[in-house]
Amino acid sequence: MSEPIGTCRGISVVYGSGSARVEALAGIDLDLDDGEQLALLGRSGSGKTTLLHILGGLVVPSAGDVTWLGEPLSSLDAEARGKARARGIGYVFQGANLFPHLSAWENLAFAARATAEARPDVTPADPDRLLALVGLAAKRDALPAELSGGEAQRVAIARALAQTPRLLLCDEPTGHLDSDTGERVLDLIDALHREFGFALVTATHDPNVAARASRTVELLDGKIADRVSEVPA
Amino acid sequence: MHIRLAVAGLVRNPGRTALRVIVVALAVALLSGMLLFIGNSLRSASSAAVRGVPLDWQGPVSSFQQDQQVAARVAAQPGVAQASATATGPFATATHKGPAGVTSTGQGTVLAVPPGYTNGIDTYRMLQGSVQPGGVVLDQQTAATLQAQLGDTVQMRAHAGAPLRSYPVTGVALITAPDKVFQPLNPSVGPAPAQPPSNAAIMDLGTFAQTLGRDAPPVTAANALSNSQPGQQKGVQWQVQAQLDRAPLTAGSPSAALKLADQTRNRVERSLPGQVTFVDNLSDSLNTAAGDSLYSQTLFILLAVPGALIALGVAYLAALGTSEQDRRDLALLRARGARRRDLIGLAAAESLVIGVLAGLIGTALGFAAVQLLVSGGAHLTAGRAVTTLIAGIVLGILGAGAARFGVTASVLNRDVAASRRSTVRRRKPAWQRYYLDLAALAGSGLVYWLTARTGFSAVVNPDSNPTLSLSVYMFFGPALLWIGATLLLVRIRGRALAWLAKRASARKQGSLRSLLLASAGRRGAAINRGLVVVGLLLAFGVSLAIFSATYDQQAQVDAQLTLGADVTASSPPGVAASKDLAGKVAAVPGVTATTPVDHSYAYVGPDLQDTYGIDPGSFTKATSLRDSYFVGGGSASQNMSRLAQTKDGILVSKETITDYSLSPGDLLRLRVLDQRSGHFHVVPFHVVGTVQEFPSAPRDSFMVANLPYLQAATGAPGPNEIFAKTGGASPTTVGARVAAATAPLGVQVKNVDQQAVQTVSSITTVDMKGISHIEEAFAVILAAAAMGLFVLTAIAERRNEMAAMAAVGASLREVGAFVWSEAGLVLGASIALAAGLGWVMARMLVTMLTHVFDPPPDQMAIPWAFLGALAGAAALAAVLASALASRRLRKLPLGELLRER
Repeated sequence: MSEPIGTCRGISVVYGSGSARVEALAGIDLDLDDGEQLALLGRSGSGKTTLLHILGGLVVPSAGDVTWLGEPLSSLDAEARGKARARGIGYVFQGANLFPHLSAWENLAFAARATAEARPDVTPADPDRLLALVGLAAKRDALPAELSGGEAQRVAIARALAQTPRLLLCDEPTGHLDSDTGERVLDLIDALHREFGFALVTATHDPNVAARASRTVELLDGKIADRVSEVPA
Repeated sequence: MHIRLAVAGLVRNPGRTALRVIVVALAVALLSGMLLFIGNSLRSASSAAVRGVPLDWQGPVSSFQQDQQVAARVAAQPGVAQASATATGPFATATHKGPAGVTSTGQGTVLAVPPGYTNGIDTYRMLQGSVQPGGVVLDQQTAATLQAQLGDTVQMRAHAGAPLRSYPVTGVALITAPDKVFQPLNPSVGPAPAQPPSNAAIMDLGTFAQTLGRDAPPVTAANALSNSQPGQQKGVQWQVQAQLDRAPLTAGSPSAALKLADQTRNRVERSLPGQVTFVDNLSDSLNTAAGDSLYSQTLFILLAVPGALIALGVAYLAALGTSEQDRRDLALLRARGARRRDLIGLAAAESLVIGVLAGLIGTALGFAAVQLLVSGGAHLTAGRAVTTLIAGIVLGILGAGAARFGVTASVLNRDVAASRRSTVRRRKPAWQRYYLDLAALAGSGLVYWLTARTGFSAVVNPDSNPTLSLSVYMFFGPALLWIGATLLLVRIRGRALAWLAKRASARKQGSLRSLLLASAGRRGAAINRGLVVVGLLLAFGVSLAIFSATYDQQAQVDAQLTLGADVTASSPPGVAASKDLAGKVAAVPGVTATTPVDHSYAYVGPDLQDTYGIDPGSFTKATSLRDSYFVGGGSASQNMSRLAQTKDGILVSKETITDYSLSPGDLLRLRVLDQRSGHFHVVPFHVVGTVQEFPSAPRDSFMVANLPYLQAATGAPGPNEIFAKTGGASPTTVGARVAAATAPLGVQVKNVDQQAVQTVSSITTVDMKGISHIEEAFAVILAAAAMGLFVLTAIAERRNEMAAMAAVGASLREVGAFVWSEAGLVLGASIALAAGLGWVMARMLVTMLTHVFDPPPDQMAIPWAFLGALAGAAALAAVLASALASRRLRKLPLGELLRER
């Protein structure tokens, strides 16, 4: 069996202190294998987004270690964690989080550029090809405010692909979409996962979305619940 | 309840609160500093106007007895510091038998004064001895002519047939205000300063009444006209001279002093019906000062108000930096059931708290600025301190309210607009629909054009003292330019910048530079906000600095033109030649050149004009002559050369050339006063050029001739003035040295620094240094603050966007580039805007006041050091704020910002 691309060991995240102390995650251990599709399932406030951010190096745990491609993310400073992300961690947020003053094409170009700087060995992604891939070649010059919710989320997915990811972290990617659009977005992510072979971690409260994954980890009050389902590949 | 909530909110965010308080405090400081300065300036103007009047009132009466009675009654009136019975009377000749023989003077005038006269009236200064009953005090010029000393006896007679009276010489004096003391008195005409008599003496009033005063008839209403011609006083002018209390007059503005002086005079005249009516020298001076103070107040306000308004723009930027936080707070409060009214009440309470704090701090800062930057300090009394403090707090509340409500309104409007986006289409504001920005700019241009053509008028009053009348309406020009330029910038909303950025970003798609430009191009409105505040602040600083530098430069030039040179030494007749005054002055350290000048008078037809005898060879070495002083006949050096080559040549003022249809080469016969005989006689001159300005000459009519030729005509025993150039040395210091070196000669020494302060009749003497120092200091601080706030506001507004950039792996350098590139754009565009608008504004102000300056400026003075400091402060603030921004980016809470966005 190959080495996991990412690991979490004894991860705890605590916000506030005294009576305002909140433990968002407590003693999380998790391995991520290359190319696997993992769902983090849990209710609102269960800690799934925090765990996603820990995996992507956006949040530093209060305790425990997290690694990415063997590098200890938790002990790096902000700049180094950014570089580590540029080496293959893509993000799709619940609210797209596109850069509002850059066009769809420029959003992708910015991400591709950041990746190219950190990974000179990788061929820079072509924003036009990626936009075509998500069916939005016609929206090349549109600003985020001119896109519908589904279109914006597809641009966000394309932007994540522009990072040539080995790991794609999706935080409730259909949370702001109607069910039909949401389904289409999930189908697109699945198709891209199959085509590009990156590891995919999706945080969701929806069991149906989680059902698409090969492995599901359920979080309950910041801890991994007993139920962990695995679907044979 | 609102106050409690507001205080709690402000305490919870100390950094944010401190920022708002400081920025509003800076705006308050600028305005309160201006209020303090204007108050001081007005009191200074009153003091200067009052100080320049040696003798307030002169009331002609018909007899010695009436003189004494009326003087006693006037002295008893409230507000009157001193009233003295005095007289002036003619003498036909004065004779002195000395070791060298008998010397006589021509006709002259006696001033008769009672004991204690000089306690409050300052018309002469004793050089030796004192006024004593039975004796006579000779004016130093007369004493020199008669070669008389203390203890000698002189004989005087009132007119040809009158008895010869003998008086022991008990003193020698310098009559410092002969034009006032000996002026013909006609209360219905008012003050009419006259040519001083060639010879003068001072006598005890009782002695005069017993002797010379008996020998000539009194001046009465019937013969006043014949006595009013200069040098033609044949009768005794009994007069009550009075001086008012200075303290109440100098406590307020010149207008208030004028009102008080007029009221006092009316009251005194009313209480003595038919007995006395005064010639009011004081009101005459205060009237001019009141006109000047209206002008200076308008100018100060015009210069300071734009700065204060833009400072409020900075306060708006500061408030805007926290608008996201405000939006969240408002949303939270709404969720808890707060109504729109509650939210507005909370904003008002918050503005009140911030305004009071900012008012207190700002007033203290304004006071400190005036104390530190204005010569003479703030002169704060308890009353003025309380008034300024109240004004400061009110301004603080208004400023904080304007900034806070601006943000609250935009937050509330955005909230409403978001919910109605599909149905409501926002209309442009009325000013945009009616193009008020373009109308204001056009109006500004029109006012400027009209002003440049007709906005001033130089009125020469009958006594040949020029006064300037300015229309305050011409200040609409710059005011409308500020308004129009600001509104136009708001209308454009950075579209020009967006257009430029779009074109630039299209060149190399996908590069960081093109992405930065593309982003900046789409953030035109936000960048424009920074550009409006920073650019207008810099433009304000540039216009103020250029204008005040030009103003200072011209004030100095004006002072030198009025005085004549850096340092002047005026001597009694004969002293300059016999004691080698020029040599003594030239030997003083710091003096680089000297030239002799003889100032006398001559008649052109019926017009008595100042006439100057100069040495063309040395004149330009000892003082400055500009080409613009001469009309139609070449440069200054060419005119001096022509004068030097023509022995009986004369330069004639433009007015005389026009009035008498003269041309170069024409023969001009002047009636010149022969100082030996005291009679005028005709002397031929030839016109060699036309002159409109000349050092120490009046502004209207005068003439300039060769010194040897003029002296031969006047019989003057040598020049009566020496002009000296100080090169780089301080005129004040060199003037003091000259005074020390020539003290035994009875020489009066003046310097150009002193002149700049003392010339109260000229508008350019309004002290711009104080207000410009205050405003320049605030412009630098505010420009730096505005630039810093722009950067920090951009970070605050784009935190989520930057967190997303970091999340996709962009380096902090790349993320930071989105901040500093915009800061660079704002700084560059602001400097370009400031250079253009600031220059136009300064040009407009200088052009509007061109005819006030005497002479007009050849070109504007550019204070490069200050302009560099201004741009440097803004650039430094941008760099510091960008560095701070980079630190903040490093600490962005990415997880928190990107959660559920």
